[in-house]
Amino acid sequence: MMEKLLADYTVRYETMLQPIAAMLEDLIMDHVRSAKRIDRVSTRAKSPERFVAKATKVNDDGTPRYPDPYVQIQDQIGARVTVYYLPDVDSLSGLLLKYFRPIEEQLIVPDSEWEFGYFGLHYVLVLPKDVVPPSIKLEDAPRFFELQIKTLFQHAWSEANHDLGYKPENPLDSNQKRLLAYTSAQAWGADREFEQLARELHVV
Amino acid sequence: MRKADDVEVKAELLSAVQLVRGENGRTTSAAQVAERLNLSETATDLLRNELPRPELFDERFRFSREEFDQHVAFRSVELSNGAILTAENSRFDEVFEQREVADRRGVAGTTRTRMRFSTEGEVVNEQLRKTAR
Repeated sequence: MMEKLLADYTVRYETMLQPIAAMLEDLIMDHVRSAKRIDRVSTRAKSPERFVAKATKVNDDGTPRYPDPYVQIQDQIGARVTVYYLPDVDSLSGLLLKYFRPIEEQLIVPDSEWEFGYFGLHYVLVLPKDVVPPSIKLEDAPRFFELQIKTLFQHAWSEANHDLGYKPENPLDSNQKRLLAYTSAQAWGADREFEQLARELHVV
Repeated sequence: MRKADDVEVKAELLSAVQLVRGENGRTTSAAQVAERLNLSETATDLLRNELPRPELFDERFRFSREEFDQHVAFRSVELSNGAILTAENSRFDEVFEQREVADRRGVAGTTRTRMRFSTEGEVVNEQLRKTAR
């Protein structure tokens, strides 16, 4: 069953999700053209390996977490806009919400003030029809996509964390986890220092 | 607009760009706009074919002049004598006074009208370029 899911999703990934992601990137670029301090806009289609890993997760009672993964997994297409400073996150999210319809908004912060880890503003947004090529039936395309708006430091930390922190074959020990938390704290601090400087210099 | 080969269709679309700004705040669709502006079949087809998906032609949206102007920021008119006049689309007709002039040397076989454009202002920048754009 997992092989079939992988094969089916791979076709979906290549023929549908990648073209949609490319068109979505152009559309977002167009919308943020006038915004200041945008470092990059990027989109991606969720890779077949990551999709299957997510789609086959189970609940504590053994039932599938995503019985209908093509509908329920909402980040098959993901977009990320990276901005310079923390205040830019709010201004950019205000700008983008003029164009996209939000289904869900989530400000992700660690559970406790004594912890450091992933920070970021995430949205689940309705996928506009404009980015679905005419060769694809609308009913087959994902209905939503995930948008992340991050500062440069949040982006840098999450990329490195993704690369180093999720190796099932080589789980992190306690000291390594603490090192990642330490780098997150540094990124968090750097964002605040830059915010302060940008405000003092009237850049934001 | 660049894809409109026919001069009359081009002129029709140029007028439509000006007129459609009057739709500000109205909930409408591309189909309704084409109908209201009485666009020819050729111009309507051109508009429809430029949309990413055919269904979008009938999709309703709220027209924003501000947003529209961001996408059609500049209007450029090229004359048969080689002049290229460019101004912000929303102010083009204010910036350039234009009037029809008697056709002394019209190109045979065309229905083009000779136009005289005039404007006045301080020179704030002047450039030489290899190409027009």
